[in-house]
Amino acid sequence: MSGMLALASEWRGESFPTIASETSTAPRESILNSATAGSGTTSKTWRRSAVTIVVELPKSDAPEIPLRKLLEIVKSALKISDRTADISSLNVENARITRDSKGHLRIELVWPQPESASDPDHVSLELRISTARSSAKKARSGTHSRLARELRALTGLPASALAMAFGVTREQYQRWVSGRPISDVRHGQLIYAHTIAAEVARKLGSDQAPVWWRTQLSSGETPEQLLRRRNLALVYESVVSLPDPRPVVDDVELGLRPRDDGWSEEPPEGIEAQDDWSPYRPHRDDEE
Amino acid sequence: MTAPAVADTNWLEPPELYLALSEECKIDRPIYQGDVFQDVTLPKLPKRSLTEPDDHLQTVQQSVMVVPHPCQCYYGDKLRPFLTVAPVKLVESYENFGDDRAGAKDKFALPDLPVQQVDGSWVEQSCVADFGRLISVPSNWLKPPKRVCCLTHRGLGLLAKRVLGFQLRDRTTTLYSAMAYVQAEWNESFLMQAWVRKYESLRGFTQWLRSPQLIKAIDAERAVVPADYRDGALDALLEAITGEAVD
Repeated sequence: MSGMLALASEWRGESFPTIASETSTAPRESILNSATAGSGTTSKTWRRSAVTIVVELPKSDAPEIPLRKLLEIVKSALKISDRTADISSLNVENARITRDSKGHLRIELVWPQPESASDPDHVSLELRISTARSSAKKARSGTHSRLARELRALTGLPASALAMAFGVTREQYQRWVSGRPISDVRHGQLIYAHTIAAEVARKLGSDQAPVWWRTQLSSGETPEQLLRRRNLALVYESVVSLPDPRPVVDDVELGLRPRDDGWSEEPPEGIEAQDDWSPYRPHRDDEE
Repeated sequence: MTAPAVADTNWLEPPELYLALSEECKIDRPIYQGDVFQDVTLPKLPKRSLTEPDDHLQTVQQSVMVVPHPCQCYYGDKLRPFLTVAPVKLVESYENFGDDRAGAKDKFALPDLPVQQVDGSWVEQSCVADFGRLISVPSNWLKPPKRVCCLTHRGLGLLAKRVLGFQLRDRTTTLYSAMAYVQAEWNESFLMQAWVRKYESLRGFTQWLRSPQLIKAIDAERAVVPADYRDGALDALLEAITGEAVD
């Protein structure tokens, strides 16, 4: 479910129905405009990375909220969603923000107490910000196509060779290039292979990089053969050992780092008393 | 120059940071770097040193994040007896991380981390893991049902950046190089999970991983050592364990 910021209204404990919202994508300014417009049916969505915010303004029979105040609230809420503001305070006069038991943010406005009422009049504005965990998948749908396309260009290898590297058919690889969905496992492999190929191109230049993929290494195999055999650990090792013409740019170390898998160490103290790890059985200490 | 597969950043929003949260955390996923567990007993250390025989430490139940590299969490098929953890605490905002989010080097941001309330409900709150209060606890205090988050591969890379920043004041490491560095360990976590799901414990996993096996999806004729293929053939290794093809 996409996260949303909903401004709904309550009046003396009675909930007004929330305005039906139309979800649409709009730049940040739109949400502010919708707030200043004050229309009872305005509803906009603001997308910023994973967070979607929907503003639903109260119906016309709800107490009128000063537009200036609403604007202040929306601006403050945006600041909170940027995680640069204190979540317990909106820094807006007569307004405070709390969390309910479901984790939704709740904005409460307190109006001056009318003479006839025993309770202060409240306008509660409900603000929900929950993150859309599925958005990462949506976001990557655009990237895997780029990665698959660039991997071909960076290596100069045919789709059939690259497909072997991922354990898929050439047709499947071409479907990724055209933007068709990719699984989590293959996407992780694609990111890794692209990272390696980009490193070769950075070190050798885009002209020489395709040559390197077809040149024998000291082991007698070419990187292309290692890739086809799916031994990317050896490809990584070979790439890291290439000389780096510009290892650091703007204080950022651009290159991939050598790995050392040959660590050996004494068994940690007490390891002999440990069981093989299992989440299903209690530990010995718990049983004692 | 080609843009990296993963843009370098000092900040990840929850969808990119968390692999799983609260009840989404699978019980059979191995205890791993970056996992957060709640209700872990920690000593409450007083500022004055304890010198009297009757002095006792008070304890507090707190959420903690596992800090060591995955290889420092396990020794073969066994979880190490003690694991170093960073206490997790609530914060009002992440303002002190600065505009580039590279500040507060002794903290790791856990935005919208679910925190269980007394009534059992979950509330997403802004939290940090505090490297300035690292402590080692018996690993059996970290109960899989009490796990409230597991990091993504990107999250693991960001954690590596932050740990290097905390320990070395290093600002040169990129997210993509940190991710590539732990590619094998990241993939291994899924192999461990598949193994535990099938055999109910890690027993035999390390032996399998380090010994030649005939894995047809990699080489139909010659035995290969699975560990050599963790980087690039996760699907084939998962299939070898589970017997089921991976998409």
